[in-house]
Parts: sequence; C-alpha cells; structure tokens
Amino acid sequence: MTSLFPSSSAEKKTLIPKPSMDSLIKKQKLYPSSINPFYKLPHETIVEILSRLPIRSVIQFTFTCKTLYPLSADPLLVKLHLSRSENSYLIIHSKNPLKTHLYFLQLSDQKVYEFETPFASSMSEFSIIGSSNGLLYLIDSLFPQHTYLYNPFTREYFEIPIKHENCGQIVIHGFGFDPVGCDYKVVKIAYCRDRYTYHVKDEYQGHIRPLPSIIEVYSLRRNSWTYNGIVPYILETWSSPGVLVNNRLHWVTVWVKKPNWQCHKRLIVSYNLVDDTIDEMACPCSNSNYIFDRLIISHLAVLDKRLCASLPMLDRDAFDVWVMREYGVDESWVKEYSICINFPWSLIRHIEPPHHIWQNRFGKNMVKVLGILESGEVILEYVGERLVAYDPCNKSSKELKYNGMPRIYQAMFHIGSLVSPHLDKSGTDTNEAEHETP
Amino acid sequence: MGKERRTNVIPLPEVDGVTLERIIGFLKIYTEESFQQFTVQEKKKRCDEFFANCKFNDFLTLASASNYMGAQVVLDEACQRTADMMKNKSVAWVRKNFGIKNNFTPEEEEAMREKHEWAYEGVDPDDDEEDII
Repeated sequence: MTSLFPSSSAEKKTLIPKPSMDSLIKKQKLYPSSINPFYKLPHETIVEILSRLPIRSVIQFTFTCKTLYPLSADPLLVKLHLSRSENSYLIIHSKNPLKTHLYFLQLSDQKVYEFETPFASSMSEFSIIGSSNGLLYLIDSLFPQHTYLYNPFTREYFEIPIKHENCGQIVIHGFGFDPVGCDYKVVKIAYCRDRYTYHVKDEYQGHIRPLPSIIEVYSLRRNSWTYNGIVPYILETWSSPGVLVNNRLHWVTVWVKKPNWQCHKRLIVSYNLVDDTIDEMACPCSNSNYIFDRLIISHLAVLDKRLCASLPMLDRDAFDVWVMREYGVDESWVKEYSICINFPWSLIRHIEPPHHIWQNRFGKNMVKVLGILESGEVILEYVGERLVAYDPCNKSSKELKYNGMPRIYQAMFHIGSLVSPHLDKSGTDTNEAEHETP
Repeated sequence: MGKERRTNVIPLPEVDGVTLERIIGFLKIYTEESFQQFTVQEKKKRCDEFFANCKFNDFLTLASASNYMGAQVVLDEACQRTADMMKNKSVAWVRKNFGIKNNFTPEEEEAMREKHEWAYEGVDPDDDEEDII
C-alpha cells in the first residue's frame, strides 16, 4: 500500500488533488471565500457530496444562492449523480379533467408532490411514452406531432422536430437511451390503416397480413429522424410504449402463424437502440401446440432489468408474472410470481367479458406491474385506483397510501436526475455548462 | 560530514490537529485485517461508532482535509455522511449550515418557489439547536 504521508517536502506537491491547481483556483472563484471558511471546499468535493443526494436535495442546494444555481447544469455533477441514481421515483400522470397533472413520489415519502410543468398553458393534455435516465418523452394529446423531451426536476424541455403523420396511421412508440452512442432515441413504428378493412387486427384469418409498416427513429444527438426499415409483424397497440430491457425496446405482436407452425402464436419484437436492428423472441409458454393452452399476455414489464410478461388467469382472480431469466433465450421464461388480486368493486364493474381479460372499457389493463424493490416486493398499479406492494415471500399484498394521491392515468418508475434534454449540457459532452440566471 | 538533515515534519496548513487525528484514526481502522473481514452492515456500524460525535461542520472539514491529503476512503465516508445529514433538509437549513449567503431577490425566490414548490415541501423541520461553527 502506498504511503499517504510522504517523507520529504518535495513529494508534498503530489498531494495536490486532481484536477490541476489552475482549474481548482478557477473553480474556487465561483465560491466567494469572504463569506465562510467552508468555501475552501474544492469544486469536485462539493460535486462528490451532491452526487450522493436525492435529486430533490440537489435542487434545493442549488437554490441557496445565485452562485450555486448553475451547479445543476455542471456536467461532472450531472454524470456522477446519474451514475449513483436509482429508479426510485414514481411519476404519476393524472388527467383531471382535460388537463394533465404530473406528480411524483418516493415510496418512502408520506405524500405525493406535484410538478409545475413549464408547458402547462401550451400543452394541457399529454401522454408519457417513456422515462429514461430521468428524461420523459411526452406526446401532446391534442396535437400528436408535437413531442417533447422533459426533465421534470430541472424543468428543462426540448421540442423534438416534427415528423408529419399521415391520417389514419396507427403508431407504436418507444423511447430509450443508447449507452454506446450516448444518445436518446425515439422509435416510431407506423402502420397505414387499410381502407378496406377497418381493423388492422385481423389476426384470426390465418396468415400475417403484410401491412406496410415504417420504422422511424429520432436521435437526439443528430436531432433528426431517419427511416430504418420495416417490421415484418403487426404489433399490438396495447404493447406500446415499448418496454426497455437490455438497450432494446420490446413490443408484442398480434397472433401470427409461420408456415412450419401448427398454430398461431404471439412473438415479442425488439428494437436494438445501439445498432438499430430488429429481433424477435418467443412469448412465455408458446411451445405448446394445443390451441387452448395459449396464454394471454396482458402486458410486458421490467423487473430488476429483466423482461417479464404478465399473464392473467381466466379462471380466477390472479395473474402470473413470467420472467425471462436469460435474455434472448426462449427457453428461459420462468413463472416467478403468481399474484392474487383483490379487485375493488369500483374496478370490477368496468371489466369486459373474458375475451378482453381484465381490461376496462377503455382497453387499459386493470393491473399493471410497475417494478420491483430491493426488498423483493413487486409494485403493482390497480389502474386509476391504487398502488400495491406484493410480497412474494408471504404472498401478501399491501396497499401503499400517500397523501394527495390523485387518480392514476399512468404510473412509472423514474430516475431523478439532472440530465438535460439539451445534449450539450447533458454531461455526455465535455463542454462546460453556461451559467444560467434563474 | 555534510549530510543533509532530513526533516520528518511536514507542515499541513490546510489541516487542523483534530481533523488529522480523525483521518489517521479512521485509516487505522480501515486498514485493520478484522475490518476488512466485516460484512457491509458491520462495517457501517463500526464507522458509525467512529464518527458518532462528529457534527455537520466536522464532516465538511474532514472532506476538505481528506481531499487535500488524498485520503480517498476518508473522503468517501465524509462526503457520504455529509450527504446523509443534508438529505431532506430545507433550503434555509442548507444556507445556515454551509454558511451560504442568500443573494436572490425576494421576487426571484418567489418565482423559484412557484416553479419548484415540491422543493420547499415535506422537508424536515429546521432544528434551531443545530450548531454551525
């Protein structure tokens, strides 16, 4: 072990901490030393401390004085803070009525907090497509060609260049971060409605209907859309937005039948954000050829960075969660959880006949798997009503109650970060951030 | 015979005696065989014991000194403990304990409060007995 206490004064010079003395002095000028001896703390030590704080505390720190306000855009802090952050916030999207409200909470909190969105007047209703590294991708509900990247904690937002959609297109979305290219990407898969059949989903006719589908991908780094081929299957709209696992977005196809198959099956299609390729995987339990053995998937989810599928039971109030233990290996689907549900009466009366199992009249899944905690508890959303933590050890569920909980339209786990949708400040570049005024 | 006298005294103007003792003390514990064998919880408990009587400003001084001296493990501990003590405290508390002077105008602060109401809600009540220096 190298000695921390050099024996000669000449070696003392090596004790001066990185970065170089010059940049240290330059940065220390940000903090007026006449105010307090603690301003001797060098920039990177302050960044070290702040990077260990939850996002709320970081923002609060930058509110203490004008000189510290620009810290929230400091590239070193953004990067270090993100590397230490976890998916510990729940973003709740509530439509109340005709106006979207955005809330957040940490599961350990007592209450729900509301975000004041900077576009409240220009975009009163929107949908959240996805959350990645602390950025949300939003689509204006009234004018869907207007979409935004938004960090709710720093209030920064960026409008993505418009990609015109033709009327009658059905669009499937996905949003995620490409760690290799250090880029945020939006994937849009559009189908044109065939004007002779109203429904796109005619999967029961026994063959894949080759409707034209276009994949378009927006890259934040290039700030442009590119055409990236087609998807050979029709994707279920309920599987949009795609679920991000292993740098890939996943959606579920309609029932398809390949020539060598004996019956229809569903597939999971994935889009790789790193190399822009498409792949397909089997759904859980799809190797059975007995037609009535096919299980119904209600939705995909991510648990502990693994892809999973929620399969409701037809004969009882329960659903199974299958997890793909080894990514890409079809045989590695394992049933990990079998969760009983206590539907509140207010939800039961909205349930459609068994064919659309457990969906309300708006086609929304009644129970959704949101994520999993370190303790192993699985967090579920009973749509619109409540958040529940399911403990797989003693197979019990408990409702999570918070003050001010609104009606839930969408809920998702989110990383509280300082990442900016303006890429030059996102910490992925080496440029210093400009000082901003509040 | 002209041999240069080697001095073993190194002046450390940035570090006071108490802090230096703490740094050395902690490093001694950290490098013990028995400490390295501990589980994560046991390590935490041992560190908690060591830092039990340190106040907030002590951790700041410790962070500054260990950064100056290059004692990375002490720096990590000091930064983490500072962060743990700062979590969920109000903006006023942070100002007081860091000795930061508020140079926002009341209008600017009001504008910030409106846009980030959540940053001012649900924080721990300020404890007036917390000392600063």
